[in-house]
Amino acid sequence: MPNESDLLATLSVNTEKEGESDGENGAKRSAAGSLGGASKRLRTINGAHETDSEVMQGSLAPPAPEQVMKTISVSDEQFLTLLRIFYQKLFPFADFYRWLGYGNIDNAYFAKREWSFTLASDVYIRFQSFASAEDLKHEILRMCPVKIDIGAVYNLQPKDKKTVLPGAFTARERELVFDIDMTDYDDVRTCCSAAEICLKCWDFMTVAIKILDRALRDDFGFQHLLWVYSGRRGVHCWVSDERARKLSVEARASIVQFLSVVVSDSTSKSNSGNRNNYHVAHDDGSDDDFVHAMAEDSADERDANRQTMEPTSDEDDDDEDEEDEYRTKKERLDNDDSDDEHRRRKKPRRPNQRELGEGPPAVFHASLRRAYQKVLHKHFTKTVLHEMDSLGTRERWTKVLAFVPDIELRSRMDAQWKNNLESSPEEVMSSIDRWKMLVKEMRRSRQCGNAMRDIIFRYLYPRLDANVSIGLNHLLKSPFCVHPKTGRVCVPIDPQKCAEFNPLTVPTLEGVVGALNVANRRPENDVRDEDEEDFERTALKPYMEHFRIFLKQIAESTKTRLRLEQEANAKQQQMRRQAEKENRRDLTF
Amino acid sequence: MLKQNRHLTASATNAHEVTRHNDPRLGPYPSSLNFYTVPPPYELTLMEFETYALDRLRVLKAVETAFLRAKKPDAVDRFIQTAHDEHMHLNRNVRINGVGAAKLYQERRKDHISHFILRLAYCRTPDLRRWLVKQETALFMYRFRQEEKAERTRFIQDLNLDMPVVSNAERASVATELRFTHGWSRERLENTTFYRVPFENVLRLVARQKVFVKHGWAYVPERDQPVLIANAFRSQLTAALEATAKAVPRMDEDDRLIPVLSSIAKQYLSNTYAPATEGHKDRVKHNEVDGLVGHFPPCMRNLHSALRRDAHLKHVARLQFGLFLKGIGMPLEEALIFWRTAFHRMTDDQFTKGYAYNVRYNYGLEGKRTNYTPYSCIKIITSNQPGPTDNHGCPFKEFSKNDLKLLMKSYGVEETAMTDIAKLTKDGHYQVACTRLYEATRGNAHRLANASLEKSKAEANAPLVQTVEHPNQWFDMSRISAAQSQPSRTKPKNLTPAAK
Repeated sequence: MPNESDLLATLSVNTEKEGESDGENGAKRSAAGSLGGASKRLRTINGAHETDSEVMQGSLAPPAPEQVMKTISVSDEQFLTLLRIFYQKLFPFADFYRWLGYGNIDNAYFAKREWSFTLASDVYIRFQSFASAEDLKHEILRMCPVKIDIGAVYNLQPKDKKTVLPGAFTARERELVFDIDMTDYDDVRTCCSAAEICLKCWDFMTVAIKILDRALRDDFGFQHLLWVYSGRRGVHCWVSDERARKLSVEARASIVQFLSVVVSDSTSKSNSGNRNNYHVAHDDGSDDDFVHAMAEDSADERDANRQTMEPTSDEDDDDEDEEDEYRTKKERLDNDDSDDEHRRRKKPRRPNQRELGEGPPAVFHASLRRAYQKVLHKHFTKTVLHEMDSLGTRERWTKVLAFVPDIELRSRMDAQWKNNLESSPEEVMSSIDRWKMLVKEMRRSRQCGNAMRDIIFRYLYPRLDANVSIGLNHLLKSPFCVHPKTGRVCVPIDPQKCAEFNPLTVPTLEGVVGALNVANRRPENDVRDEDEEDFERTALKPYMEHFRIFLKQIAESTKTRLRLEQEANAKQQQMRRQAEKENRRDLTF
Repeated sequence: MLKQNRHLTASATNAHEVTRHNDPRLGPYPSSLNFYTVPPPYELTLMEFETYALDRLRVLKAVETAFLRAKKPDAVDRFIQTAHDEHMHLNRNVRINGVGAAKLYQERRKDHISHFILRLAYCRTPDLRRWLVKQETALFMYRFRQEEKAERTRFIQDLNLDMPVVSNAERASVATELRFTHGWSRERLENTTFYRVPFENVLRLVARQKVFVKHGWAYVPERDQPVLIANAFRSQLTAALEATAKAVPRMDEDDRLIPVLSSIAKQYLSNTYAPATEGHKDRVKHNEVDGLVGHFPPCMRNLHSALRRDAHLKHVARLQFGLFLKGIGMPLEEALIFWRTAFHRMTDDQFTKGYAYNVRYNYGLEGKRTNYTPYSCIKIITSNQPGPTDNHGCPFKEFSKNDLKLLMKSYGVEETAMTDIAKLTKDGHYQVACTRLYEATRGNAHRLANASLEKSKAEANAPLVQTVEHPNQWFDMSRISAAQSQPSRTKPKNLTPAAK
């Protein structure tokens, strides 16, 4: 087992090496000086462009001191020392090789993968590649990057990029990745903002994981999903199935669009200033399924189930979907023309109308419907109403009311709630009371077809960073990195137990290295099982186990694939032989 | 020479050899539709070679314009029809007795040959390939729509595409999901045939949530079958073009065809905006930008005012605006000064660390070291969907109605043109809307520049043939027309292919 001094020895050797192999790198690093945090893609080490950078050289000065302090909580020196030990003893290089090699069925799959490092000096190095786990470990120990990113698999080893013409180096494959960042939820968060998170708003991530995990597995049939805490305020997902890795850019874009909620333009445009609101996924105007989608009651689960019941009668509908939707909507309006009171007594809920057989169900895509019934519906009360208290103050409820299409209803609710605020403390309504009231009122209103459902989707449906998922050559932070600002390890999250995941208590760099030190110092721990690994003595253990299960499943899939291929080959050969035999027989006759 | 093509498309399986109750006189063309899996084995003269190619190119251009400018699907078809009937008339099988089999054969032969010539001409760069695939697919689908149902069905059968029909039992097992996805009654569902294909084959439907997917399989209803056909056509052609691109250098061609082919390929190129980087006489200095804003298209004006307002622009906005400035002739040194002074609220160090890289990147001095060209309208519209706090993108697409109105007012658009533009915008024809804005304001720009506007206005009033396809195209057109109304100034180099 290598000890501290060994480690230092390797390091000093490497520093010498650095002089020759990566001189530019070293020079850059010292020039860049300290840990300025502002921007990452500052300098890439990509070639000799000293002359170009000289243009602005005159104004180069060390960054403001507070910036440096903000970057890393522990002092830099200490952080880097701990990080080095972490890489030396805890970072699962061999497992990474198993993962990203995918059985190395395709020639040098691992070696063609792009790695990129952000060094403590804020130098950003792209297009690194490594032939083996040892190579990778060696280089990481040498550079001690504060952040490791994983990129695409290219047609040749990324480190050889400069040996070919610019067009000849292309990204071939990559995991389908998703990045969900809490800052995208800032307009609906009431507890924290920007980089901060708490257990309350983490619920948004839990909902996102639950919905996306199901959609990716059930809709798209992917099996090998690795969910990872991003170290601060978000989660990543690595879909590692072979089919996912081979997806084209268009396919990725389509999946992302599929997984983004369509919110009708009518509300988003009029209410959110000069920009379309988030996730208005379709811009061609033809896809406003959501506008016409079915109105139903979400306040109780029963109703959600009831809508699965089959309508009994049909109409002749050979027309296009759009017309169908139009007709349903029109019918609904026609029905609404009857006297309000009467209507409510006779047909209390619209889904019931449909059960009574007035036409086909309105469009509500199966995937959204499942998300709604299984997750959103339950979580809305808990997360949005209870924890975010989204109808708690006038400022907050104004945001919600802005999504109510009925303007008269909006102002009526606003006035009523405002009055209520002034009443005695025990009579003041809670967010949940207000929501119930609003739902009731919206059901009565003619204009609020499915505004309630729209609001729920708006608040809770996952918000993806589309660019990360779409571009093949986009980089994403590697799992098991340490977030330089929080010191937390980017550990995998078990989607089955994502509700129990607490981002605030994940293992930290200091924690795990400290625990390892303590454990290794205990005399009774000197004798260890041959198989026992260092991580088992730290809080990383359960996370690493989850990671290994993920790896095992990939390996099994690979094996199955190989077996099937072999069988198919054998069969083909057999058939060929058979055919040849018959041919020969024909000839002899 | 075209015989050589035979080995270029390796995956060719002869779809036409399938026997069918058709007229033997039609030879390999039993249908007016063609998937072009087999290269044409004919000898032909250079003259034919060129005319066939140009005729098809005219049709494809018409297809492209139709989609850009026509408002409704039937208008698209009418638009295409005019050009199609003129240059590439194809009679359907029903007309066989009317016009004679020989004519049908000739037409289809020409269609076949011209398609393969364009493959040769347009296989070289990814851009060209993408363009050809897009237009050819649209053309094919146009013809598909025009053909009779029986012929279509027969054609599809012969193609033998891999799309298994979903069994009744399987359909019943996902009935609820299918019905909610499509909003269909039970009876309609039971009367609909579904095909089960990998979701990758119907990405458009997936993206729009117009199809039910389960475990990676998309359940495509009969009605959307054309999507499957179009997709098959597209992927087949894409693959064939890539194979051709690899084979062309090995083609061992003499000097007869290469010049023809490259001139054909340029026909397309001349219509996109290629910024004149070299020999650009009008170098734009950092302090001249504000004076040129009058010539900026709305997207750039918007970015410019955001920059002046916030003394900052976000990443994509910087790329979009920075490359535009580069396109109008701002050299790197000026660009660095321009951005430095524009971001006046930050320290030199912040700028150097965070932004100078970006500027140099745009000029191909950092990162990938590509000499980037200014973004085209298509790129601005389709990529990098802006978030709520972003300023980049196409205003026609991203602005709300009211903001757009304000914008148009700032350009001094008249009421009638304004409603017209608003309508175009609403229907998603952002570039056409932008073109209309240009047409509507061109006169005003002159009024500001020169009082003697009438003459040039008369010239300007000729309707624009070409849609605005590039922000820099707008800028150049605007500058040129301004210069024309100021005869004293030297005319800038003619940069408007659109004017032709």
